[in-house]
Amino acid sequence: MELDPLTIILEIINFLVLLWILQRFLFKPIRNALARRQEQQAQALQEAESREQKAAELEQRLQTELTQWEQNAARRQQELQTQLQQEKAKILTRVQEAAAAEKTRLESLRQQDAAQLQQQLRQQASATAAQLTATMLRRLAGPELDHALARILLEDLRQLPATELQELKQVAASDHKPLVITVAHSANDGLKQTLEGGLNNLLGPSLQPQYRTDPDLISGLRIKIGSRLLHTNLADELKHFTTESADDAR
Amino acid sequence: MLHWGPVSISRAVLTTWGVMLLLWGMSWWLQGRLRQPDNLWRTLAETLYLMMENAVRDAVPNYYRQVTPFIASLWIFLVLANLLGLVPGLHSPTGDLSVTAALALLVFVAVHWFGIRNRGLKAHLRHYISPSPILLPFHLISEITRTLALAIRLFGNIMSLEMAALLVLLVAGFLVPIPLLMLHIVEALVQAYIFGVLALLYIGSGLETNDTTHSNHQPDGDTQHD
Repeated sequence: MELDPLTIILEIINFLVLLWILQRFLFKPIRNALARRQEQQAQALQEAESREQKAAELEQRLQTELTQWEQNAARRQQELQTQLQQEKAKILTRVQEAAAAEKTRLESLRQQDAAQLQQQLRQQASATAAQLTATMLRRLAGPELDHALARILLEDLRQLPATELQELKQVAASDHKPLVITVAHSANDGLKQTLEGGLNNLLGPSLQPQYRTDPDLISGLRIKIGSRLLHTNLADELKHFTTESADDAR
Repeated sequence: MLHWGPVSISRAVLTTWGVMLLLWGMSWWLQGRLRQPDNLWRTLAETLYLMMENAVRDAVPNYYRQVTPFIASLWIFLVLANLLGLVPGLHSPTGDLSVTAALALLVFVAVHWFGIRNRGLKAHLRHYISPSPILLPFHLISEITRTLALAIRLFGNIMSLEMAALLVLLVAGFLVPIPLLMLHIVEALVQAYIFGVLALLYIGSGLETNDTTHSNHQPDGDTQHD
């Protein structure tokens, strides 16, 4: 409990020395370490801010590029859409034209087929009609009908123009071949007499006909004078009728 | 006591030298750790230093750079000196009135040192007669009593703790004084803190008084550490 001046003085000196020691070896290094740490933090903060700024700039740039890219994409899409519409319209026009041409062609083909079919049907109908007529006429045919047809032939010859009749006379006179008369049924005397009398009056008296029989004529006769052929028979008439019907159908 | 011719060096002084040696060794050892980028000791040292610096800055915001080493040295020395009494065979230097008186005198001088250094002698002395010269005796009495109180408070607490622990050990036997020793730890820390804070308040009161009377001072003007 006593105050010792020496102790007081030494303690004062001790503390001042301690203060110097701590200041020199402890506080100063700690402050330096804190300063370094603060500097590092400031650098890190500055670097982070710099990076953040760069990131913001990059983001801005990317945003701008993205906007431009989107605008370009929209423009290109619009152009492509327009081109697509134009191409579509062209293709549609071509397809429509092709379809119209095809339709026309098919219509033509259909009409041709129809016409052909109609012609075939007409021909078949004509043939059938001719066949039916021939069948019916065969039943009606006979020497009498041959005789009647002979008279019709002679009557037609008489009504020929004079020039044609004269040419026919010259052919009959100049030709050395015999006059051939083909009859559907065997020619009887009456028929021969009628024919020879009529022909002699019209073409001249020197004619010597040869008679032949051809049942295919159905009824009637066919007269061959040189290169000329006169005929009045049902077979030729039916054939003529059928041919005309076919021509009409065309 | 160490007798060196006519000079007798007290046990407290020898112990103080030991504390100084220990602190110098610890500081030297810590220097290497502080140069490393990151380690536990560096973090611990920085944290403790910042705690002390922040405490000083709260009291003297404009002069904490100047005052912190003195106050921090007081705290560190007193903590070690107070706790030294727990080591068997050693006694706390602060259990000696001469040591605490020396520290109180240092605080007394420091108050005027910082005041004169920052404000000048005239401005520093002016606060003894402000707001009225009548208060001069009271100021002077206050200076003396608070310095005495500072010395006796620390001495009384530490000395009584050691004496109480010794008495309990003698009366009750081995292991019984353990709770008292734990109280010694708390008391040592609290007394070191109180001494340092009071010293800081005295220094701060001188500086702040000067600040209110004169505005042309040169503060530290440093940024705060967090």
